[in-house]
Formats: sequence, structure tokens, C-alpha cells
Amino acid sequence: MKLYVYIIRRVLLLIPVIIGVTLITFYLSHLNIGLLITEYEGKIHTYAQRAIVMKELHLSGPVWAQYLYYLGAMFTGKWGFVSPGDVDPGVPVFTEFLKRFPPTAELALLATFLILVMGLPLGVLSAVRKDRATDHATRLGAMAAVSIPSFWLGLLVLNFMLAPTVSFLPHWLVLYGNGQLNWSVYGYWHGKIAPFVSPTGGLSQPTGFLLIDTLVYGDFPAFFNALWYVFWPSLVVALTTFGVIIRFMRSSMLENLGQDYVRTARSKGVPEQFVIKKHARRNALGSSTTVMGLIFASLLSGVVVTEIVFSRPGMGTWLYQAAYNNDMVSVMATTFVFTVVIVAANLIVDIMYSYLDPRVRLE
Amino acid sequence: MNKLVGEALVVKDLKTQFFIYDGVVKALEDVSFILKKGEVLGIVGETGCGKSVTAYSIMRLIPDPPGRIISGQIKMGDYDLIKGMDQEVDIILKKRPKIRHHNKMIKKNEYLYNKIRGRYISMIFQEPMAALNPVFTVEDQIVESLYLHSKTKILRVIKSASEHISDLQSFKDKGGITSELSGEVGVELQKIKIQKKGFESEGKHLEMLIDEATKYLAKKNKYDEMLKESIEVDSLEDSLFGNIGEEERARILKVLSKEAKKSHLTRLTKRLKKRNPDPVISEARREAFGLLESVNIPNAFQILKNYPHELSGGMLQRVVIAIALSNDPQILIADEPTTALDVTIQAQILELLRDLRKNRGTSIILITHDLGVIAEMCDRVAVMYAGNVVETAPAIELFHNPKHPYTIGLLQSIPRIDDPTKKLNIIRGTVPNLIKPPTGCRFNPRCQFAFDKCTVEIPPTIETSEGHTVACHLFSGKEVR
Ligand SMILES: Nc1ncnc2c1ncn2[C@@H]1O[C@H](COP(=O)(O)OP(=O)(O)OP(=O)(O)O)[C@@H](O)[C@H]1O
Ligand code: SF4
Ligand SMILES: [Mg+2]
Repeated sequence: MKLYVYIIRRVLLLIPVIIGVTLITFYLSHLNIGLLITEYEGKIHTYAQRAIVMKELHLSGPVWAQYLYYLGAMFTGKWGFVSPGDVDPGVPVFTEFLKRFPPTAELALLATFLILVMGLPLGVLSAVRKDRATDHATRLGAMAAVSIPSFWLGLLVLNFMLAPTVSFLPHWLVLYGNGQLNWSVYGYWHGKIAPFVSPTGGLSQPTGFLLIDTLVYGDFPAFFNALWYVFWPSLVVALTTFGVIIRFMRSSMLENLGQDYVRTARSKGVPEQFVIKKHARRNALGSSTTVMGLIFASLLSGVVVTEIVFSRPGMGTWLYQAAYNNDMVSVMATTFVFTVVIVAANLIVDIMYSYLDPRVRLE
Repeated sequence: MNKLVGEALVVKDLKTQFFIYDGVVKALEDVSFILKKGEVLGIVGETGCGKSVTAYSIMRLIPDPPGRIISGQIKMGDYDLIKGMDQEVDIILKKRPKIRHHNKMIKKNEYLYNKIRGRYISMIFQEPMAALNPVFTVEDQIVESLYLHSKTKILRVIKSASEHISDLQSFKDKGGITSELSGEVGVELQKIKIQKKGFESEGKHLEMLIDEATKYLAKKNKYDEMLKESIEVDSLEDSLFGNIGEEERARILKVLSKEAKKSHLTRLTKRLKKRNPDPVISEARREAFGLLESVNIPNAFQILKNYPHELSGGMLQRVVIAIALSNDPQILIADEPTTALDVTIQAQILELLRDLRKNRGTSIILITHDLGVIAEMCDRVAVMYAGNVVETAPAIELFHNPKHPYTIGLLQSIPRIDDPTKKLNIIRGTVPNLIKPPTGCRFNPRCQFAFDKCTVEIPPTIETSEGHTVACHLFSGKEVR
């Protein structure tokens, strides 16, 4: 099958998934209609206002009709408004999404990268040194890292690396604050582009990705600064997730090293180093990528927690605040986005798998 | 025929054991046999009697842990593969490399053994379906083998092709090979001609050779340098297996290890991916193409691009054989090469092995439990039972005049098509547990001739007639060991 046909098919398969997920979130958020109304509480003073809200959310119709209206709005890009605060009627969800998505994407991508570059080699090492000190140390370390809750590890990293109460880093590396990171009070931000300042102040951000924007402006101090601030939270996410990959890679390597083709390679006179690096690892990699798809969901939940701890203004913080404020529209929107991202990640993993293992056909 | 006189491999008192949780599996106990040059030696025996372990011990493919070669000699020419290596380790480690240092020992030995495997001794396996790496194409896997050991030859062929480039061109224009060429390229063309695959294949070979020669000429200095280096390394390696002092051997090993560090294998993987490979790779590809043709694979050029899972078992076994032959080894060990294949394919593969011995003079160790295969293929046979070689004899002699009770039982257990009324005489019981093997003769619990001496004394190996040895108390004569 051609690759693009496959992708189109998979994207079409996305539709039932999305319908399912939105159905659930919609149903849950409409379980208590009072909650939805409360959002607008501050605004509703008269019956006329209440009628407008009722009409806006189609609350007078049956639930299924409400859902259809909601779905229709979702696909036409009208994602509703973030729970109204000072601004009336609130910020459009889509605008908020565009602002919130880049920090989270940066965090998640870097975390994925870290998981791969740390997890895969450690898994290989662990397998090759099976039952020796290196193996035990790696497995113990991985187990410990996975067992530590990400919010706790996050707080540790925050306190020691970014906003140290005990400083052992040169001052330019750390951010001084009151222990709580807040993006608006970055004391030691270097460079011209300040992160997430209001659009009126500072330079405009062409992509919203801080790591890219700083490079677009050629502002290297700001770039490294941005990298520094995204590195630590993503390390936290990676550490609390990568144990699975290590274990999987280890067992997969062990399995492959016992295969007949490895024996054939040795019998050809291939040096052991290449038997491991070329023959066995290449095979083990294929099956390990599939796990990457599976752990992506847990990675994202780690991202949410970590963002909250580090006060990164991303999707996670947004979801958290929205849930806190009964802002159901935002909750539904963020859930929707996370769903799409997870499904897309799995699609990418499947395509990669078929590249890594010629026996796998895309079907 | 002078080339075929003497021994290709001498295995003496080989003892291999597996240290597992339940105890020590004494898989091989003083296994000795001789493989003569150019002969096919069959090894037969029931399942679990140590045939594969023997082969793996020779190839040093015993998984460690749990397995280990405890003692013995495996001599290739004057060179003792086991002892020679341990001495080298002594020198390199400057320590007592006993069991404690076993892992390091293997590491240090690896360089040497990797030169022997694939180049002097090759092996083909029982399960062709699993024997090839599923993520690399057939071509990649043959080229890898060639690249590891035959670089000098490859470079020589290209160089020779570049010297005869105009001849090659005219051959191609006239359509196929018409006359002889001198030098390495001539030998190659001769080989292609013998394979008789018709003009199309010849044309392809010529085309590739011309292409390589052109590339070679473009960067002549570089490749000449490469060839020089490669020849130096080769001669150093060859001298390792000769009769040289230990100091000298250590020195050479040091030089070679340094050389190995700049190993070309990593680069090979990258180069293979390139669309326009350098002549060394493309000559290796041409050679791979020729190899596949020589093992009677139709449509070889397409098959090269296939992945193992796209081929049938018989085809895969041919590919495995092609890989094993890629560096023209002196010894080929075939561990039940036909067991997993259906009968017609079996016959073809055996035919292939027979041709191989005839055309290249390769000595073959053929492991099987099929006595029919033995009768058809082998010059001599070694019968194994529970980790011992119990009888060796020329094949015809063994079939007509078996001595050892186990051999007799084995021969009687073949169903006879000409006499279906005859009841099969099956040896009762199974191969004993090798953790606690029977004392004395290991066959005694199942032997119908067993007497009291058999349970206490290990039978000596006795030569009953020229080239026929048997390890049994029933016989007396000259003790071979
Ligand atoms: N990795 C291992 N660990 C423990 N014991 C082993 C191992 N490999 C082989 N053995 C033992 O060595 C003995 C000989 O096995 P081997 O594979 O050589 O038999 P074989 O003659 O090749 O049999 P088959 O005809 O089934 O291939 C067996 O008793 C087996 O239990
Ligand atoms: S030594 Fe004894 S037990 Fe062994 S084969 Fe001969 S007669 Fe049988
Ligand atoms: Mg076997």
C-alpha cells in the first residue's frame, strides 16, 4: 500500500475515535448542567441574559442535539470561549490553544527525544551486560526514576536547578524567585525576546515556539535560556517515563541476541560490537518503537503535571485551571487536542515501525 | 590432487560443558575426530548427543554463559585454535587467564576468531528461515561477509578489471564472453562462464565490472593505497596462524587490533545505503550476484534485493550457503542443512554441497541424523552417542560392517522398503541425562551386550582396521588413545 493511502486511511479512522472521546467528555461535562451555567454565573443577572446563554449552548434542546451542535462547532473551528474573566465574552478557545500549544509541544518533543536517547542505549547496555553490575545499576536506577512521582521530582529539580533554595550553580544559570516559578517574573532572562509577554510588549512571536522564535531573531542568549527552561521539565518527564523503554529494549535485545541470525552473524566473523550494534539492535529497535506509541499517553499526563509544577503556560496548566474553574469548554477542547496528538503519535510510530522492520506491512 | 592430502581439521579430546542451574551438563566428553582435506565427514547420532555442540565448539559459538570449552585441541594445520588462543591471552593480559577471566579472554580472542570464522571455517544451519537477519536484504548480508574477509580479493579484481577495461568493453559489445582474459578478472569471468547463466547475466557482470573499473581509474591512487594496506593486513593475519614465536604473535595482534579500530564496517553500512556506491562495494555486490548464481538461484539479481521473509526455505538455505561460501572457506560445517526442507529441495541442496566439494575442494562436516543422507554424501562417518564419538569408519565400511552396538542399533532402526515385514529393531530408551551420565560406557544402560566392565571402565578407542575405530569393550586391538 502506498504510504499516503495508508495515512489517509488512518486519518479517517481517527473520526470514530474523536467522536467517542468528545462524546464522553461532552457527556461528563453535561452531567451537571448547573456546572455549565455556573461558568456564566457572574454574567447572568437577568432572565434575558440567561436566555441568551441557553440559546448559545442550545440548552433548551435535547442532549443529543446539544452534542451535535457542539460537534459541528468543533469541526468548523468554533471551539467556544475560555471561561469569561475580565474580558467579555472571554478569549476564544482556539486563540488560547494557539498560545498554549507551542510550550507543551516543545516540552513533549524534547521529553520524547530524551527518552529515546537515554532509554534505548541504556536498554542495550543493560542487555549486553546482563546480570552484571551495570545491568543491575541501570535497572535499579530506571525503577527508582519511574517510581518517583513526577510532581515530587519536578519540585526537586525546580528547587535545585531552576529556582534554587540551595544554589550551587553559577548565578546566570538559575532563576531567582520565591521558589515558585512564574513566567511573568523571569528575573534572569537573557536576550531581547521575553517569553510570553503580552503581544503589545516585546517582539511578536512568529511561531509561538520559543526555541524557534529566538532563533528566528538570532537571539542566542534567549535561545539557550529557553532551552534551559524547557530542558529541566522535560528531563523530569523523561525520567519518570523512560523506565518502560529501558526494560522493553533490554528484553527485546536479549531476545534478539538469542536468535539464530545473530549466531549466523557471528559465524560470518562479524565482530561482537557489530553483532550488537548492527544486527541485534536494529531488530530490537523495531519492536521498541511500538512501545513508544503506548507510553506516549503516559508521557502526556506527565507533561500536564510537570507543567503545573513548573508553571509553564502550556496545555497542561490550561487544562488544570479549566478543570479547577469548571471551564468545561476548555476542558473539552484540551481533551480533544490531547486525543488527536496521541492518535497522531501512534500513526507516526506505526509508519516508523514499517520502515524499521521490512516484515511489517502497512495495512 | 596433492592439495587434498592431509588433515584439514583435527579435533582431539574436546570437552565442552554447560553450567546450568541443575548442574553441569557434560555435553562433550573427549570428542576426537579428523577431517581430511576435501572429504565429507558425516556426524550422526540421536538428538541431544552433542552434534551441534561439537560444531559450535569448533566455531566458538557456544553461548557463554552457560557453556564453555573446558579442554581439548582443535587443530587447523599446525595451529591449535584453542591452545594458541589461550597463549595469546596470556601474553595480552599478562595474568592467569583461567576461568575467572573468561569473558575478557573471549573478547581478546575475538579478533582472531572472527578472522577464522567465515574465512577459514564457515557454517550453515538447520533453520534457514531463522538464519538470516530479517531487517537486512540478502545482498547486504552477503556483502557484509565479503567485506569482512575478502577485501583484498575484491580490490584485486577491480584493479585487474581496470587493466583490461578495453577488452571488457569489446566483450560486452560483441555480446558475452568470447575468449579468455588473463589476471583476476579473467578468473572471475571464467567462473561466470562456468555458471552458464546465459548472456544476460554475463552482460550484467561485464557492465558492473566496467563501471567499477572506471570508478577505480578515477581515483586510482586511493584504491591502490587501499589494496596495499589490505594485502599487508592479510599477510599479517596469515602469519598469525603459522609457526611463529609468541612474542611476535603478540606484536602482530597489537598491530592488527589497531587496524581493526579503524574498522570499515561502520562505514560499510552507510556506504551500502548510497545509491552510487564506491567500486569496492559494487564489486562485492557483483560477487554476491555471482555467488547466488553459483548456488543455482534463478533470477539472482532480483533476489539480492529481497528480504529474507520474502523467500522460501530452500531459497534461503541457498542464500545461507552462498554466504558461507563467500570467502572460499577451507572447511564447511553443515548442521542438519536439509532437516527443515522438503524432500525435493533436500536433494537439490545436497547436490549443491556435493558440487561444492568437487569444484572447490572444500572439506565438509555434514551433521545429520539421516543415515540416508550419510550414505549418499559422506566419505567417512563419525557416530556420536551422548557426547562421545563411539565409532568412526569409511561410510561403506560402516554400513556393511558396523562394530559398535549403538551403530548396529542405529542401522537396524532404518525402515527397509525392500523388506517391509522385517520388524524395526529400535534401541530402547533415550539418550541419558548428561548431567549425571552413566559411569563407564555411556551406552551401557541401553546396550544389549553390556557386561560388568562396561559400568566401571570407560572403553578405550580401538582401531579394528585401517581407518575404522570403535570405542567399546567388546573389541580389542591397537588403542588409538
Ligand atoms: N545452551 C545450552 N544449555 C544447556 N545445555 C545445552 C545447551 N546447548 C546444548 N546443551 C546440551 O548439550 C547436549 C547436546 O546438544 P546438541 O544440541 O549438540 O544435540 P544434537 O546432537 O545437535 O541434537 P539435534 O539432533 O536435536 O540437533 C544436549 O544434552 C543439550 O541438553
Ligand atoms: S562398552 Fe559395553 S556397554 Fe558400551 S557399547 Fe560396548 S558392550 Fe555396550
Ligand atoms: Mg543439533
